Amino acid sequence: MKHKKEIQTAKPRSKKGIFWWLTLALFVVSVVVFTIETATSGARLAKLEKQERALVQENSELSALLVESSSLTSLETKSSEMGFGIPQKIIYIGSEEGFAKLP
Amino acid sequence: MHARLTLISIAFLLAFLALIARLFFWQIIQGRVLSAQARDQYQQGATLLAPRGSILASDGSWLAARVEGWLVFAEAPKLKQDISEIADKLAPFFVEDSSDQQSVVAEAGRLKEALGRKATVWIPLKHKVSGEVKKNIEALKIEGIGFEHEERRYYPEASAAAQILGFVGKNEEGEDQGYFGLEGYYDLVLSGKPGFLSREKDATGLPIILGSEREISAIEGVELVTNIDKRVQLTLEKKLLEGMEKYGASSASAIVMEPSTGSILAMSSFPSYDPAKYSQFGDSYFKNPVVSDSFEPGSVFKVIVMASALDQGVVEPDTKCDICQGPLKVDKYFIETWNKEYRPDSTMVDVIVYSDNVGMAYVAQRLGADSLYDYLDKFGIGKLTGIDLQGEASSALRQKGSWNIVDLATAGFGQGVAVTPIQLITAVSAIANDGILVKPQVVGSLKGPGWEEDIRPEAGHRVISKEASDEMTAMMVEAAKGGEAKWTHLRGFKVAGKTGTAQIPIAGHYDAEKTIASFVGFAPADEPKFVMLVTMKEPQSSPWASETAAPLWYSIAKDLFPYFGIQPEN
Repeated sequence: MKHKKEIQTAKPRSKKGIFWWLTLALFVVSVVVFTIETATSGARLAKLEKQERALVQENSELSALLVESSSLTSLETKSSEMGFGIPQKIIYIGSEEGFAKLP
Repeated sequence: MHARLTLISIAFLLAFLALIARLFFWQIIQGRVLSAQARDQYQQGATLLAPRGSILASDGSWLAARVEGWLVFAEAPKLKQDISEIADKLAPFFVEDSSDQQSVVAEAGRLKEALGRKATVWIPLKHKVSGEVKKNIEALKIEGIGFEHEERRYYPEASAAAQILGFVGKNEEGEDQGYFGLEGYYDLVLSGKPGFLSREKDATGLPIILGSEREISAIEGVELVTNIDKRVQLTLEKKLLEGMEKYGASSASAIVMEPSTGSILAMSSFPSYDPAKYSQFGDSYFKNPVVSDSFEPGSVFKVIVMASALDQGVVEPDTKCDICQGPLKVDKYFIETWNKEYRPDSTMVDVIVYSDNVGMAYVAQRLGADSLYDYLDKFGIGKLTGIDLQGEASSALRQKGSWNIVDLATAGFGQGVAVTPIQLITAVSAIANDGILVKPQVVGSLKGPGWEEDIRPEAGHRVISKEASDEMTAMMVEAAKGGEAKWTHLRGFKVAGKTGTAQIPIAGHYDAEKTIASFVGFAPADEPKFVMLVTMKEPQSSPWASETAAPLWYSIAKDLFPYFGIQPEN
């Protein structure tokens, strides 16, 4: 009679136990996944920051090149080396002295 | 039994007190140090740099820009190679000209000394080297040599506009700070504000996303968009240097200004310096003489006195001078004309055209000391113009009411008063601008990411009437055409101008030989697009402005006319 009673009460305990075990397992898995995710996110962030730094540096180098190339002083030096010069004499033409003017 | 219990109690008490004392030491006295050590293990902090704003020309091209720089340092414990060997390898990268063996050897010596310092772990070797130098040093693969990011200033036009720009040096804390010119005046807005990032890290140094994080963003420095026209600036620089050498002057300055807005289009002075290598120049080079140095203007000042008299109505252009037949005796002094030639019954036009000192003494006397003072004050003589450049200085005018008859007469032809070139050109701009005086301004707007703010000054204030300015302009046109500098006048162009040869005061008298030659003028006279002032100190080829400053003015103007679209009248 006593044994029968134990069997009768074992059924609901088993369900509850499974539920708790599942919850615990889910919790453990969540913790592990979350920890891994957090750790990899940090690494991903560090990688992205490294890429950002590299891009900023590249941008900075290109900007420096642009600034250097836009120098009028060096452009003037180069142009005079290539044989260009400023006009020595400027001739102003009166508006009435038009070209292809009819008599 | 009781004694034993007491002893044990005392022992416990002592132990407890010792524990309290120890805890007090670690928690209270050493608490901050320990928590800082702990924080260092799990927290990382970094300063977020605020890039310094660039200085742009009116067309948006760069006059001064930030570029990447690097600090080269050595970590003494990690150095594997011999110190001398490292110094010899690095020295050629740290000198301006690596083919100059003398400077390479000197630099190598400096590096050896720095690397040889005992009890130093981290040794800074060279600040602000370029990215190219960094790459070259990295290629050498010297163990223990590292790089730290810095920012450096780059001036694409080298020494052009040096005295307008100023330079970036270091302050007492070793931080970048602008000095002189725009870098000094706008240092606060150019600098921006550095930020800070603090967050938790794991054992490998990677950031912990869910950890505490605190970030204060850096505020970038603002960009200055100046009114400087690069082409005008470079033309001015080139011509001024040529002129200074040609006429043997000890120094020279020139300014080009737009009279209607007060915008400074170009400004140059020689001797000059390279702002990127400012440490190689002495302090005397940094001061901008255009805004800092006062001089007795001489005859160029006559246009201001005459314009005042015309506005006051005490003279008309055809008023005849009834004391111009010979030298004028004022108190114990005699006032003479510059060439000892006298023209009885000269009109006011003649007085300006022939730059007659006696005639101008007559004008000043007609105007009266108090009136003259008031007009000079309205023209901005004797006070700061408010130009946005660091280092502006001004000589004060003699106090109102204290002018004697000699002061009044000599002020008429620009003696006994001191002006800076910027004051003079601002005053003449008022004549060119229908009598309205506008504050000179170098920067037109401030620019940040996604915004731009116009900071040009509001409309100026009237100093003289339009009629008086028109009459004065007509006189200056005649002076340019028929005055002593007429030989250099560009035929067909309507230029209003005036020469000025001022003696240099030294120890209570005027130097017999040394002069300051000036020419101020604007074109076209009816609707001026620019006002230009050229001054040269102690020209050697001739002491006269008509033979030095005036031809230089026209030489520069000749290049500017096509650029501004100014054509001959006929």
